[in-house]
Amino acid sequence: MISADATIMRDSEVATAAVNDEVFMLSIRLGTYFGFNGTGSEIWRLLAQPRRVSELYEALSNIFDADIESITRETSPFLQILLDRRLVRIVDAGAPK
Amino acid sequence: MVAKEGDVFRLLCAVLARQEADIGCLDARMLRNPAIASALIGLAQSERVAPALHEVVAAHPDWDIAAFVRATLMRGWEQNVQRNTLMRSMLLELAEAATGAGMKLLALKGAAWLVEDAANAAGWRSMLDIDVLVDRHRFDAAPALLERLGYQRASNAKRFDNNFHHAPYRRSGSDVTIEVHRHLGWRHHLLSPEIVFANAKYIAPGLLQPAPWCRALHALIHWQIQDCGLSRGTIPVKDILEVARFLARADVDWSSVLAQADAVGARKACMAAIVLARELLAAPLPQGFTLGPDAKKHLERALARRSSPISTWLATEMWRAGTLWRCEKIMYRRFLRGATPPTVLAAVWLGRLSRLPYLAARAVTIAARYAGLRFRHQRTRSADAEGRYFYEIYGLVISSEIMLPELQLRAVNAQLPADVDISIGRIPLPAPADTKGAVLHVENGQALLTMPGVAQYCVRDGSSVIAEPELAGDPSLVRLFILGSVMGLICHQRGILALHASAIARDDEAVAFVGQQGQGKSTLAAHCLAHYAVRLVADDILVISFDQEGQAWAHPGMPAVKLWRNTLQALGRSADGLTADWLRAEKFLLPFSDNVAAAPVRLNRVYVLTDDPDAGDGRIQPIPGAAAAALIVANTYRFEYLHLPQERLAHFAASSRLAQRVAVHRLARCRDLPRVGSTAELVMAELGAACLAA
Repeated sequence: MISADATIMRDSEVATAAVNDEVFMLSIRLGTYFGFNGTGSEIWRLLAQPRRVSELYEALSNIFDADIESITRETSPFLQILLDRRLVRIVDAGAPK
Repeated sequence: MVAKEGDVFRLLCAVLARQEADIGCLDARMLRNPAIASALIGLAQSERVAPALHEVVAAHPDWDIAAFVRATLMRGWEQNVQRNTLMRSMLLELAEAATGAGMKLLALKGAAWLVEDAANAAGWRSMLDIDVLVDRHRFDAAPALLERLGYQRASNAKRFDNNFHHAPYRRSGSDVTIEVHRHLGWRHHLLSPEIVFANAKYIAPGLLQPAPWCRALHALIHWQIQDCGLSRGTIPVKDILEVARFLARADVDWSSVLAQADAVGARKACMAAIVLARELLAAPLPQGFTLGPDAKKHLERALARRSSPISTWLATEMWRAGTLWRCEKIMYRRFLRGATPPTVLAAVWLGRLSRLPYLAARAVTIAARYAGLRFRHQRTRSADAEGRYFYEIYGLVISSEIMLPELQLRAVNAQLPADVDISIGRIPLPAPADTKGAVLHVENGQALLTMPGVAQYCVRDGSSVIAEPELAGDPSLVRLFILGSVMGLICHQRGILALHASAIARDDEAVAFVGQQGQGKSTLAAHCLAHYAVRLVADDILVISFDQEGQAWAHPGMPAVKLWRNTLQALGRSADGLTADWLRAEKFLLPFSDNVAAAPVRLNRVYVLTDDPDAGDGRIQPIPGAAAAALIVANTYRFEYLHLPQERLAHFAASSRLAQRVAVHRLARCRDLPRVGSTAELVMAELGAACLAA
C-alpha cells in the first residue's frame, strides 16, 4: 500500500482532457486510454501539482464529507492502479516508517 | 500530361498502327506515364483490342513502356489465346458432329480467324462467342444437335424466337456461347447466306470457311450497316482493326467486295470503314483504291465522337434512336413469314408511327441530359494546364494526377489551392515481402501502405500521396484505397478527426451513426435518406473539424452508401449495375446525386449503434463524458494507423473535444431489418426531419 507520507503527482507522459466533468486521458507511454468517473476525476484534478498522499486524503474527506479512514480504504487501491499504470509518479517516497 | 478520352483513343490507334515503324517521340513519352498507360490499357480492354495491343508492344521490346503495362497485356493475351484455343476445339467438335447430322457449318467473323490459325487460335482477336452459319433449311435442327453435345440454351428471352440466330447455347460451367445463324443479320440482303456458302471452301470436317472477300465484306457490313452506322455510336476499334487486317491480306478480292457493295447500295458505308482503317491504323490500301472527298469528313466526324465522354454518349443515344426508327426487326420478321413487299412496308411505317411519341419524349430527355452533362462537364473540367484534376472531399481540396470518377460530384475549380496532392509514380522504399493483408510501415515521418495485389502508397506530411500500382492492380481498386485508407492516413497526419461513421443532415444540422462493423450504420442512413427530408453527408469516412467557437462540423464525403444486397432489396433497389465492394462481393456502392450535402454541416449528435434484441425499436440513452470520448476513439477511421506520438495527441485532443461538444447517445435496438423503419422514425423525430410523401 502506498505510504501516506509519499508525495505523488501526474506523470508528464499523460495527456488529459475534461469531458463533461469527467477525465479522459491517454498514456503516451502505453498508448492506452483511461476514463475516470466523478471521484477519480476529482483525485486527478488534485494531482495536477505534487501532493502528499495524506494531504490528498484530507482534501477528499472535505470534498466528499467522509471520514479519513474510509477515504483511505477506498482511495489507496485506486492510487496503486495509477502508479502501476504509470499515470502518476512518486516525487518523494517520504520518511520510512 | 492530360489523359483526355480523345487523346487516349488517338494513342491507342497510333500504337496499334505502328507495328513496323518506330513509335514517335510524343507517343513514347506518353507511354512512359503510368497514368496514361493505365488509361490506355483500360480503353484497349473496353474496346476489346488488348490482346492485339500486346502483340504490337511485345514486338517492340525497345519501347519505353512501364513494366506493369507489358505484364498486364501479356497476361491478358495468354488468357485470350487459351480461351480462343478452347473455342477453336469446340468449333471443330461441333462441325464434326454436324456432318454426322447431315449439316454443314460455316465459320463467321472471329470463328473464321480461329480455324485459320492452329498455333495461336488468332490470339489477337477478342471473342465474345462463336458465330456459325447453317443452311437455312437445316436451321431448326441446330438446337437438337447442340443439346446432343451437352449444350444448354443460355437464354429464354423471347427476342430469340424470330431471330436471325438461335438463342446462345453453352455448356454448364463454361462461359463460351455458340450462336447458330441462318442469316448474317437483320439486313440479310446485304450479304445473303447463299452467296457466302457458294464462295466457301472446306477447312475441316463439316466446317466451311468463307472466301476472304466475303469475310472482309461481312466485317465492313457488321460495323457500318448491321449496327446502323457506327456501333455504340462510336468507332469500335475492334472492327477497325479487323478491317485493317483484311486490308493487309493479299488474298482478299476487293473488286468482289466492291461489286457486292455496289449491288446492295453499301459502297459509301464500306468506304467509310476503309477510310478509318487507313487513317487511324495505317492499313495499306488495295491497288486502285482512292479515297474520295468524303473520307476526311468521315474521319473528322468519327474522331469528334471520341473526343469526350459527352460526345460519345450523345452519338450512342442518337444511334439508338436511329435504330428504333429503322424498324429492321419488323422488316426481317415479316420477311421470315413470307410477307409481300407492300405489307412489309405498311408494317414498317406502322411501327415507325407508333414509335413517334416515344422518340419525341426520348429526344426531350436526351436534350435535357445533354445540357446537364455539358454544364457539369464545364464545371468538372477541373484539370488545370498540367492536367491535374481537382476535387473537394472530407474538407480537403485534392489535386490528382489521375481522374477520380467516383468524385464527379465533388469536382472543383482548379483555381483553389490544394491541400493534398495525389500522383502516380515510383516509391523509393522497398515493399515488405510476402504479405497477404494491408501493411503499414512508418519511417521518417512518411507512411508506406501496401495493399497486396493492388498498389503501394506513400503518404507524407498529410499533403502528398504517391501511388505505385502493382502489375495487376485494378485501377478502380487503386483509387478505392486512395479514397479510403490513404485518406485515413492523411487525416491522421494532419491531426484531423475522421470517424468510421455514416452521417445525414437536415437543413443545417447533422447526426452521425457510429458502431462496430455490421451494426447497420449505412442501412439506417440509407433508410433515412429514402424516407425523410435529409441529405447524405458521408458514409464510411466522416471527417470532423471544429471552428473557432468550438462547434463541430461534418464534412461531405463520398456521395455513395455501401449496402448489402438484402438491404438494397428492402429499399426497393436492385444491385444491378452497382459497383461491388472489393472485399465483400455482396456489398454494393449505392450512389446518391440529388440529396447530398455540398458543404460542411454542424454536427450536434452522435449515435452509437448497438444490437439488443430486448430493446425493440430503439432505446436512446446519453453516454457520460469519459465513456463517450472512449467510444469516439474506438470508432475512429483507421485507428490502427495512428502511429506517431504527435498524431496520437492530436487525435486524443480532437476526440475529447468532440465528446465534449456533441451529444453522444447509445442507440440500442433490435437490429432486424424490418425494424429499421421504426428506429429511423425515432432518430428522425429527435432531429426534427420531415417524412417524405410516399
